Amino acid sequence: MASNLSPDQEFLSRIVQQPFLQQEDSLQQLRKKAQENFLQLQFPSKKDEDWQFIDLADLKKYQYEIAQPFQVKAQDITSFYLEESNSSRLVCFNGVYQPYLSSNPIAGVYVGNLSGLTPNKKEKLIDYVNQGQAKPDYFTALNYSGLSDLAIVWVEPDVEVKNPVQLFFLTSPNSSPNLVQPHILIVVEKNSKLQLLESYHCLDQDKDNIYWTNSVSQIFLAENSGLEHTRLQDESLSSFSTAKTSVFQKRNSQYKILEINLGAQLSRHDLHVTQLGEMTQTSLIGLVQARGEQTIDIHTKVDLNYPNGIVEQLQKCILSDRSNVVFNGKIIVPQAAQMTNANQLNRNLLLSSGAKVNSKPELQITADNVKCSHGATVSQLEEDEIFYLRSRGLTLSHCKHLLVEAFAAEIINQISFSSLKQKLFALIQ
Amino acid sequence: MITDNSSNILSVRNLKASIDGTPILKGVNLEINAGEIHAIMGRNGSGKSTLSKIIAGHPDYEVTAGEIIYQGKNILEKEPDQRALDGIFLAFQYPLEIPGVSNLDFLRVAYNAKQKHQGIEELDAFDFEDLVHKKLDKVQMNSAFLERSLNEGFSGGEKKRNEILQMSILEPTLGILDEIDSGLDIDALRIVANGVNYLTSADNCFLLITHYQRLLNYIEPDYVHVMYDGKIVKTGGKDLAFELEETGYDFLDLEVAI
Repeated sequence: MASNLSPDQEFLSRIVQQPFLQQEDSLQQLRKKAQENFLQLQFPSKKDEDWQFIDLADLKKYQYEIAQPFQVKAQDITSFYLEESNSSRLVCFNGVYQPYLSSNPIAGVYVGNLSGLTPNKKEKLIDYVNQGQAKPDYFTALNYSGLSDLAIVWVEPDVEVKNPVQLFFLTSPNSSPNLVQPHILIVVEKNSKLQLLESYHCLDQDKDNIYWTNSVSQIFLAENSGLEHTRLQDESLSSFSTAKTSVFQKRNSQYKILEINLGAQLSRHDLHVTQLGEMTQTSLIGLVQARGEQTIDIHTKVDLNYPNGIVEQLQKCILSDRSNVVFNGKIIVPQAAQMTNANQLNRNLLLSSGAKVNSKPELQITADNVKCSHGATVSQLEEDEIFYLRSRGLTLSHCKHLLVEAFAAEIINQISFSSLKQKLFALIQ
Repeated sequence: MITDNSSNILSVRNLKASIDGTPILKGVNLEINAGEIHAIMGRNGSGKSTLSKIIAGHPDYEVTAGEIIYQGKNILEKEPDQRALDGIFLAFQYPLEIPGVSNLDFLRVAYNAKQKHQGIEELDAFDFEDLVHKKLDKVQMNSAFLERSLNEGFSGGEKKRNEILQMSILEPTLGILDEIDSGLDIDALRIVANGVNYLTSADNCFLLITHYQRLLNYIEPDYVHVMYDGKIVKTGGKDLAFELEETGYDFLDLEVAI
């Protein structure tokens, strides 16, 4: 190892120089480019505006090894499966595609990894992947540096997919710290519709093994297409999670994300949506539940650049104990984006005096004929509401539970899958 | 006065209470027996609503003296939910809106909490819906209300009817109605009153808190009390309500000052 590397670069080189699992040749160029990019990039610090409220020191404390795939009995993981998906799913263990557990019964949709594609299609997809590292941040570059395969959902034109597709990422960490780096690519072609669940879980929730999931999801929506994207992050509380989702929406497409963040000791999600045509709709709906010493950081950005764009955003956060939540939501409305209709709201429920939230809703408007609103609220459970419910015979703890559930219900009830709704209501407390 | 009458349900004795150090109740005495309807009238700020909240166990008030005996036991140390389970029900002057909690689910949870407390079998969702639909007619409420969030977006009259619906499901031994008539038009008032009249029996009792005699045309009280500056200063039959309607409360300033 060269001695002129900074500690940050060393941290990375140690990771990048490890042998990767599947050296998919078609990705080699991308990996190489990313590894070169690295030398220009600094590990984020609190001096960076975007990383001001999150402390990454704990993440950097460990030396990570690339996680190896593991074996598990099929029946031990069925509880994680989305009932409604009717076996249309892609399964990855420690980031590695599991063909025997994955299946794709739907015509007009490809659900699988890179090796299942024809060379033509492969090439087209790699073009998409390449776009994602135009301006990489540190963690995106790390993901690309270790790029060994892709989790792909590709919907052909004019297909309305009836079954939701589940992308299921399960980690079973070793006693030494592991790094898992999924890379997801979703393409929905013209006039097609898809419902997707992207979910992250840990097999041994109770063990306190350290691991780090650093994922990148790239989503491309063609004209008149629609994606309803439910994303569940329920990693182990000992883990770290950094994720980047970028969405490109063409004219008259609809993107809705329902994002539920529950797990990881430290979790950061950067969600960046770019509208590439008129009459495009973006809906960002999120729920965070942070407990114990958890830190959960949600950064979203929507770039509009065309007339008649619509953005609806509601981010709700429930904080207890000594947890720490960051919300930063940017909506950029330049001169060209006339007749934009954008509403953004962040609501936080603080259940403990030791919990802390940093909220920054941000609208940057240059266009002059738009309808935009934004706001943030921080509240506690209302004493009067509690008294009202108690006066009907409900215990104090029951009332609190009911009120927290009610706060979360506004988000959870928007999820299309009733089996998942039920699970989530059981997890919210 | 301490009574040995076994039909006594509520006995408030020399009750003094304050909020944030300011005395509100300054020695209230009130006896209510089974089968009786009592009304407390008085000006704003006389302590009527405070009394009702303290009986229900509102945590903001500090009881500084006296006791509240309910069914023979002092309940001052009891939590609001324990009092509710023991049969005390307060219909709120301003029922709270609780988005995200379905009205029907809430009613069932409250009903089953009481069933469990009494050692009676809890009802499942289907059986409970049957029960609710029977009660809905009494308050002339549309079943669409059940699917909505608790009081969310309800009009004033709808909220009050929902309180009566809750009361008819929980079947309290002591029902306290805090200005149930405020903000109601005549039709809604009649519906609410009918709901209350339907619930009265020889085994329970009601305490109505009101400004106006009007409510008492629909729910006939056995006793009318007048509250003034944190005390009950006058007690009579329902005629007293008419008297007050005529004279207003001003005469009390003179009478009590003596």
